[in-house]
Amino acid sequence: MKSGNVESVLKAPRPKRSKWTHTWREYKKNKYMFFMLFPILVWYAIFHYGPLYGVQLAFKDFSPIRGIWGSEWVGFEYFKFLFFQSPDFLRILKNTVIISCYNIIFGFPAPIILALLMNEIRFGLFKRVAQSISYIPHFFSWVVLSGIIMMMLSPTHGPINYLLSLVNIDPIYFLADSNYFRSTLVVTNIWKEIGWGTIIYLAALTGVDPTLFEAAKIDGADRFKQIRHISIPSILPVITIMFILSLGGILNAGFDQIFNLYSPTVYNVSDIIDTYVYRAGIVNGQFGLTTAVGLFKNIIGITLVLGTNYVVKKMGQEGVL
Amino acid sequence: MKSSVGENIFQFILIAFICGLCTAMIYPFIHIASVSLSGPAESTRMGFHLYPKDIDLFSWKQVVSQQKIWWGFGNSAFRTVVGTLLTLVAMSMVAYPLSRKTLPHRSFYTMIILFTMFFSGGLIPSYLLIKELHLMDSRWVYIIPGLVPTFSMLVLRNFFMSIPQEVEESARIDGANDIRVLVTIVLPLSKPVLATLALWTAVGHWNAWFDAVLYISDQSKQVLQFFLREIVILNADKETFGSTVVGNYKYETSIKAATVMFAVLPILIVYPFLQKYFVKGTMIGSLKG
Amino acid sequence: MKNRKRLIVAAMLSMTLVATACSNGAGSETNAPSQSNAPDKEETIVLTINPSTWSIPTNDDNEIQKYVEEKYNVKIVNMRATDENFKVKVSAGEIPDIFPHNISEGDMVNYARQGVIASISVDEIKQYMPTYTADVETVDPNAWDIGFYDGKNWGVPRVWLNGSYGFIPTYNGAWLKAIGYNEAPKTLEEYEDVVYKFRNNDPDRNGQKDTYAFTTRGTGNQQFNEIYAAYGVNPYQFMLADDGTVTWGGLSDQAKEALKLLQKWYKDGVLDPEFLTDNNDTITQKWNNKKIGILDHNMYHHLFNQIETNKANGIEPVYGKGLIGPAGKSLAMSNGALQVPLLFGAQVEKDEKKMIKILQILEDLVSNDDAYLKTAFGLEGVSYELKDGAAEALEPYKSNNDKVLELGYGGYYNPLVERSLSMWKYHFSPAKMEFRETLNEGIETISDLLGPTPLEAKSKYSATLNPLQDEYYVKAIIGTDHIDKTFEEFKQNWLKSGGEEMLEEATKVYQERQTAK
Repeated sequence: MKSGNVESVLKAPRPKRSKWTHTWREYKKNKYMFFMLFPILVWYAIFHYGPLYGVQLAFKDFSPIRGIWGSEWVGFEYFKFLFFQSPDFLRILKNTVIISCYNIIFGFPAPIILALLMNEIRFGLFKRVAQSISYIPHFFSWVVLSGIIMMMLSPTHGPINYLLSLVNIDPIYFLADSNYFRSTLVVTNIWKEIGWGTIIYLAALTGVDPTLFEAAKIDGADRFKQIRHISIPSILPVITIMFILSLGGILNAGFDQIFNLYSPTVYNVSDIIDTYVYRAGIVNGQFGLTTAVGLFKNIIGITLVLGTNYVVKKMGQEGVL
Repeated sequence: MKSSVGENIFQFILIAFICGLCTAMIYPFIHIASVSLSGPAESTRMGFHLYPKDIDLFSWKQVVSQQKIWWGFGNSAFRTVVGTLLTLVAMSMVAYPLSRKTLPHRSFYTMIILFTMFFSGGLIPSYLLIKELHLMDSRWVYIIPGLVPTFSMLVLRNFFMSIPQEVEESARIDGANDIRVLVTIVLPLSKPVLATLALWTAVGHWNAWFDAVLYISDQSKQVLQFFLREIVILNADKETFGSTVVGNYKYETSIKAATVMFAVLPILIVYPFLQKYFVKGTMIGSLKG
Repeated sequence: MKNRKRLIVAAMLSMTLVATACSNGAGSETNAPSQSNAPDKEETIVLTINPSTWSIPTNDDNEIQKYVEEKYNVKIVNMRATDENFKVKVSAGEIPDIFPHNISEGDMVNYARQGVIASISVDEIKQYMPTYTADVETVDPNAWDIGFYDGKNWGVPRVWLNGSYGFIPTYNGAWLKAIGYNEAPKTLEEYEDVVYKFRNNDPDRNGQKDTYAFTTRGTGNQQFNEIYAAYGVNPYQFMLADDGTVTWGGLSDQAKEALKLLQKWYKDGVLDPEFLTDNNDTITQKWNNKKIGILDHNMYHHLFNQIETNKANGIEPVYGKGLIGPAGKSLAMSNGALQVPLLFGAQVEKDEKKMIKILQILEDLVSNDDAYLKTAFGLEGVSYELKDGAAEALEPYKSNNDKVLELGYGGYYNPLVERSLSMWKYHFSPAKMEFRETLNEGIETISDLLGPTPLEAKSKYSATLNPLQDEYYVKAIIGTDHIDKTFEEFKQNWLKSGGEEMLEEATKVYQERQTAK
């Protein structure tokens, strides 16, 4: 036993040293790679890992005077408050999920349908121009677009309400009436992203072997049959990936859009996790609470992304990560 | 190509529909443009505004005579151009090594970077960091903290991975090092995806405002979106504190419209030039890769 | 080699980072002792100030700052925090010596609890600011109540002299004539008649139904001022219940009745639907463009400033009084004079010299005519001129706020502007004085029973309770639910969400004050 022990101790360093030398050689061989990689890793260390110590705020009664390290621990107080006491938390969670789901149900298929329609257009020039025009809203911030949307939807001078008045419908205040606000969010989001969303599907569609369509035509398949049996199946993998990606982002209901469009009268239907965090932090200065909410969101988020990534890989697609 | 009557009708309906859709896409911009050129009464008239009835340049004069709007324009342009360039460089610097299976401890480094996508320390420690690094009130705060957008970087890495190793071989045989290979061979092959990522980054930079709200107090370093928000959205109820100023609130609507147009125009002007990068579906590399 | 250098720089960066992380990062930089060149001379004190989060002077080297720095031998550092980053900065340890004027009482309570703000004894303030405190106590002897929390006083009390006046209903004279009125409506019934006719009878005679009587600020405590005042209630303020306890205006039967009336008006299409998001600017724009014919959100001094604009726009304003309605008398909504005190950063408490200096400066700013005029109105002959003993703004300063901020006058360097009785005279030309007297003659006001008294429950729950009320009130007005049915439900909900606790605390504080008198 003893001798065996000694022997193993004596022998052990050898392979270890050679392993280290091996690694060293590997690194040396890749020294230019590391010249490039290293500064960025340092950047990640500073800007992403550096502030991570702040997560402890989720468990502390933060006092600006004592600082992050010096503040007192309060355990799971914030989480208890959020889950069991706060009337707001359930509401913001519900709003977040509902708005995300609306965006998935209505916003997700919209560009697919548009892409399929665009793909059927025979006139190349028209198609290209139409495509270019449809991309335009994508490039503008919600700050700009909300300025535009407010004007378009104004109940006293907006053209949308003008159209409604022509058919004798009383003006609707889409941005301040909680019955309409979520629909307004969904529609304006589709308006902004539908054109841009088609790019990926159109690209996939151009990759379809044209002989398939020829064959289908000879078989007497009409346009709709061709779409159903050739176009859609050929872009199905892309659709799947995009769908799963959007599921992964279900807790991101669109901070920028909502933040720039909402007002207190519609908080009940539109206050989402991110807007709540903004108000609780920036407006009320409750940074312990906001860190707790952020942590909760991060954990759900990572679960969703890893889960969906796993599903994607299971389906034989290359994962996103 | 022969076409049946049914086919023609289908095409006609289709084109009409797409035309309607395109109208919905651009009408709001036309509306805003004509309101911005209208006087007070016309600008709040209910209905459609396809063109300004009597051109009233008052609002535009108000907008362009504001120093801060130009500051904002300059700073937004700076962060868009410089920020995008630096981001492309930085992203390539990390995406290329991570795309090569021969890199030792590759998955470890990848995990380290991936992890950052899911956790952040929150607002306060980030703020303290920026303060310690003396980036407060510096234009670099727009660029450095967000230098490498991790998702875009991964997209680029995936694209690099799809480039076959053999392409690089000839250069390596000639004795070129990794950096040279990246610059002379890999990057030129990746033009479409780089263009796409540049576009993403540039749009993000042009539209960003949150960092400016937090880190910049010097108005001459503020970005355009910040002032836009101030004028278009935040017109908060503020009893002008101890001052006797009376605003002339007649042009409110058209001034807002002119401000919005001021931010819209640069993009509309650049748009046709950028277009060629994405009309033909070159963007696909980005997501499929 | 370059890469190596970069490595070293990067490594150093990460080390600084660790160092920062460990050193809390708290503590204001301004605590650093300032150098003084002449030892015999008094040391120059550095003051980091942020008296306003929205009218911040454009440059640090403006005339007024130079004046203040020289006169009081101080160096002023402008923190320049805005509404959107002030709380972040404070949390990151950037605490100004002088806090913004628009801190809410809830924030004050939180800051006091966290040790962010300085407590000062009342005696010290009285010692160094005799004129000012005498002024304040003349306006409201209870002014000290507001800054009192947890057994200590937390700042220099402030009374906003204009705040005690009411919101004056203003009508478009031509429109009134067009519908057959020669003077402003006096009762709620007459007002209702005007509201309907301004909407339906084409008061501007342009042949289109494009006018509304009025719009209002959608949420918060200053909406539908005339209507709620006619019912004798402000739904966003504390009021005295019949049984001597404190209750919330929004829960009262008066508010419920007012809601019913508003719901009816909304259903009949006479309420501008944009009231939900309108604000001062948009309301004024609508008035100027003759889209509405009644203003309900202005006090006399706003209206006085509008006289010329109205003339230029061809509007002849007719000023009314509070409407006689269910409350039985003419009442006007008012902010009340009491405000959250002027707060100082905690570091000031530890630095006696600095504290005394600040108090002395503040006292001088409101008792020295020259200092007041400079800080409040700028330079004589440039931005204002004295006429009949009152300061009148000159162009371009009069109509261009950017110019004002360039020069640096207003409420920034003098946070007690319009809060000092001794200097009040400079704000009134004979014409303005007369205007004020005529408009406010015989007006009784409604204001918060407790003012901005710091209540722990209020700071805890108002972020929940106010949106809850906003939501219900808006729904009640634009919805079709029977208010009689839903109001009780709202009331219970409100009480359950912390309201009950708030009312109990308010009652306790109120009764303590009553017995103390």
